[in-house]
Amino acid sequence: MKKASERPEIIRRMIEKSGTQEPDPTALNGTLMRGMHLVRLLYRAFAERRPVAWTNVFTPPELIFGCDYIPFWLDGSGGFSGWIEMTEVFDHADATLPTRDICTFLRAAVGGATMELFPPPTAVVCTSHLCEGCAKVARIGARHSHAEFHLLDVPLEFSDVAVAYVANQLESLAHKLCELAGKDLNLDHLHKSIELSNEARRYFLEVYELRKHVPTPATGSQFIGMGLMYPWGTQIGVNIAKSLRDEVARRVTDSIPAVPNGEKYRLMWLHLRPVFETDIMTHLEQRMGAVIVADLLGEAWWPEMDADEPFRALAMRMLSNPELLPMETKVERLLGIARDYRVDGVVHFLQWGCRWNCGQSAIFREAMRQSDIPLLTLDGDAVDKRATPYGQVLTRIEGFLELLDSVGISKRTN
Amino acid sequence: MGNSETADKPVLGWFCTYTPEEIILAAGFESRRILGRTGPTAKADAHLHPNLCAFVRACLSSGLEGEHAKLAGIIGIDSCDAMRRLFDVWRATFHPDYSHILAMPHVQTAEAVEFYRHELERLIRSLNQYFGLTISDADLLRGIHTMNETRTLLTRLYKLRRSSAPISGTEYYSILRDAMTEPKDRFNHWLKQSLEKSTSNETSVSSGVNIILAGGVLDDPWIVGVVEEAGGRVVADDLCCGGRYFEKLTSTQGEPLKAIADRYVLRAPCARMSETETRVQNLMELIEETHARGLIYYTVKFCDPHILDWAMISKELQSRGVRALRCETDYSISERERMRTRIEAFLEMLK
Ligand code: SF4
Ligand code: SF4
Repeated sequence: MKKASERPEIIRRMIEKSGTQEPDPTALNGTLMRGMHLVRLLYRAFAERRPVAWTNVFTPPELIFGCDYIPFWLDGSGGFSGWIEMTEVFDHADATLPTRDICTFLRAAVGGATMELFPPPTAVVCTSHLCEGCAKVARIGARHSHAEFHLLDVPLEFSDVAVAYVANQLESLAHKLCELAGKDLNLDHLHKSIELSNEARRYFLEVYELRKHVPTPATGSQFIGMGLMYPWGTQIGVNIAKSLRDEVARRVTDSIPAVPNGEKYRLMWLHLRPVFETDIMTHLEQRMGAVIVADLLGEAWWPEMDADEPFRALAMRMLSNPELLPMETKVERLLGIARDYRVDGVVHFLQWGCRWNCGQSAIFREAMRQSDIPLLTLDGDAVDKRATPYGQVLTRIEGFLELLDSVGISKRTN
Repeated sequence: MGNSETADKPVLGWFCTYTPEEIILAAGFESRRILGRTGPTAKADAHLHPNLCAFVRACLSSGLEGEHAKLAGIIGIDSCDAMRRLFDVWRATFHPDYSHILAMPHVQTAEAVEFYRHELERLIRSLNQYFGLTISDADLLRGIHTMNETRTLLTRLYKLRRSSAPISGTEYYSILRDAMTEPKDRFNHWLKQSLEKSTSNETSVSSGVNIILAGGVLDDPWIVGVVEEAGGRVVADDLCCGGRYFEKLTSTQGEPLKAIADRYVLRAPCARMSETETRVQNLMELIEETHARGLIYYTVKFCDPHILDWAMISKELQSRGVRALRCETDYSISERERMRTRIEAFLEMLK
């Protein structure tokens, strides 16, 4: 059962941090709303008597909200650990993990869970797909917190059989979560949650269309990963998405570029971005005018969901993740996005320890080379700033932009 | 043993022991596991990021060395993130004529078995279509019989080694490597004959500290030699190149595909499954059965499933008073001396 926590240290550190940090002048209102809402959710997970589910970014939040739980994204915890420089979680993870070779997002999760910094979970839910390390880490967390662990076994790729297999598991999980919370599953809640998710998704699709505009209307670093930790399935999720759409549309109509000095380069960013407090992204976008116009982790990739068949719809949402596509199709899609958004170059950030992402870097590099699209692979650690030499990263980015200059920016993919 | 490059039939290659070899044999191919060898894997770094596990990079290196040039195709499986990428990179690098990847469930439920059965159907459809075959239930049964024969013979060898010591641990694991890489009929024939000879020729059980070797893939058994030289004896294992390869027969009753799915989903789980508690239980049973005094957990560098499972298993073993040592390798020779010293110290402590 959930225990009341006496001292939410994370909240204290977050408040302190926000007090010392200048707000990003290019951030959209919707981005700020999302940030505040995530902090509010975390606060509520500590303060309210509602059940909490530790979950991962590939578990559909519609299910968690639909069962009246508050989600706590365990793999996302690395992000805020990096942001508030809570480096003790990495050190503490060393007491549990036999090596430091594991992705720092996951090490932060282990450290935070075993230091009991996170809101106590009623249940722990994790998917098996893409980041398999996360499922093990979630199990470690569940064992430490004496909470039930539930794995959602998600097959390699989309098929009717896979959809049915996952839908069944989602249905059992929904019943189980409600049982743990001491209530019956309310299908109307789930229905509503899916409708709200659909509504938010429609606004997001408009935002993606609008970002294709030259110059692009908003800095892209704020979108990286947005879709992964988002209140899909709630009214606030709709409000944030609508705010993003309205503001981006207005900026396009009024011809306001993303950065005050104008857009010089258009970049596509693959995978995560550094989240700790160094201004790599600000430097890139705002000072050097290399604006990120497309990324893959901010997408709402799934089709409209059928609220009358919530489990099937959510299974389809999970299995339609483009990262599960066969490699050839994935590469085609990547090249399609590069063309659609008229990018000048691609930055592939290789989070140390992220096997599924690092493992595709050579294939992406070759595909881009064949299509004549400049690509920079950037090895680094998105979370632990001690592991990413800031100066070196900047030098490499500057070198890459010089290369774009030398090939001529007019060579823009089109 | 012979050499599978001289196999009479075309060969399909595979990487992970969750691959249903019964189907490869039923389709009329020889089955060969692609494994790595100790040595530098730098060549592979141009294709697979250096922070992918040493095993997949060693496998790719063996391909880059031209070891598998004559394969008719490959069958991949989504055992883990690294394996999926090995499949992608193998295809992009060697352009095999035929390739197919299977989805493998992570849990041991009836629904998971059913899902895997569908996956096996998909594999059969793909083989039929590409090679113009019509794989029948009789073909599948033939494949099951051959695989069960391999498993039964290996179980006999394992038991023989437990009761007497006709061969060293290093030899035993080399035979297991052959079981996965050599043409099956040829291997079965050879092992049957060898077993007949050795039963009439038993020696007594060698003394030494009984050790369980657990963990992931062990394609080069040098570590077993190190244990033996230091006065230990690997009496049993929980390894994918060891007992997990042959521990459960495929039923010959009922629908063959269902029987194959059952065997693979329900066999002793490895770390890529979400069955850590079962693994702990299996290890405890092995320890009790063999009166082992200690356990060595062997992982390759950057193998998340095994490293993270170990974070849980080690605590369980500790709470039950089992002494354990974790060894990690990156396939380089230079690692070995360091590891030898650790193993010697561990065995010294157990004596
Ligand atoms: S960066 Fe990769 S390995 Fe790390 S938590 Fe995310 S998906 Fe997992
Ligand atoms: S399970 Fe471990 S050793 Fe095996 S392929 Fe995956 S990462 Fe490598």
